[in-house]
Amino acid sequence: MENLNETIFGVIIILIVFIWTVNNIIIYSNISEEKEMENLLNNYAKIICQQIIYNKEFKNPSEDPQNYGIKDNIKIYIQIKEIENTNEGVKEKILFESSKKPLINKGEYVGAYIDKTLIIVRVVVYV
Amino acid sequence: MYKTAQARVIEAILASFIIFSSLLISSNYLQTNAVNFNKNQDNRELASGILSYLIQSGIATDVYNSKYDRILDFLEKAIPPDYGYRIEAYDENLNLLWYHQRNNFDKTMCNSSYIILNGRNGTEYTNILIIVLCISK
Repeated sequence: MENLNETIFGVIIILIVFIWTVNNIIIYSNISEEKEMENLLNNYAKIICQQIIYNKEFKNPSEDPQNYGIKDNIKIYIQIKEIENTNEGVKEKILFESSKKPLINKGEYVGAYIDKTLIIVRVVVYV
Repeated sequence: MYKTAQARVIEAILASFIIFSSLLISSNYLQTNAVNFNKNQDNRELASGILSYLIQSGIATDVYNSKYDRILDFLEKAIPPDYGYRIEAYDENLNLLWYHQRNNFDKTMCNSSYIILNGRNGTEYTNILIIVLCISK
C-alpha cells in the first residue's frame, strides 16, 4: 500500500511539473508575440513620424502606409499640433488630425520639430 | 519494493529540480536575446525638442525668477494628456530647487533630456541652472 501511495505521489509531482512547464512555455510564447508586434508597430510609427518631419508635411500628411515604404496592412492615426509662445501667452493649434482614433493593438511615436514654433507630430499605428 | 518506490519519489524530485533550473536558465537566455521585455516607447526626442524650444522662446529663463506658470502652461499643451511628465530644476551643485509632475507620470517607464542654463538674454550668469524633463507613457 505504501508502495502504491509513493508511486502516485511521484506521478503527481511529475504531472504538476509537466503542466507548469507547458503553461510557462505557452505564456512566454504569447507574451513574446505580443511584444514583438508592439515593437514592430512602434518602429513603424517612428519611421512614419520621422518621414513627416523630414518632408515637413505638417498640413496634409499621407495616411497610406505604402507612401512611407510600409507594405504591411496597417492603419495610421496622425495628429499634428503647433504650439507657439506669443505675447498673449502660449497658443496651440491643430494643423492636422486623422478622423478615426484607434483603440487596440497600437504602436506609437511622438516627435518634435522646431522652427519659429514647436510642432508636435503624434503617430499611432494599429492593425 | 518499498525502496523502489522511495527511489521513484527521489527521481521525480530530482527530475523536477532539473526541469525547473533548466527552464529558469533558458528563459533568462531567451528573454535577453529574442525579445526585449523592458523596451518602452522612446520619448527622448520629444523631451529634447520641447526643452530646445523652451530655450529658443526664452520661456526656460523664467526659472531664474522662480516663475513657473508659463513653463507649466507650455508643457500641458505640448505633451499629450495620456503621457506623464516630470520637470525638475537643479542648481549647479545638483540641489533640487523645484519640480512638478503630472499625476500619471510613471518613473519606471520614462525617458529624459536636460538643458544647462548659464545666462539670460545674452548675459552670462554666475549661477548655473539645470532643467531636466522626463516623459513617460
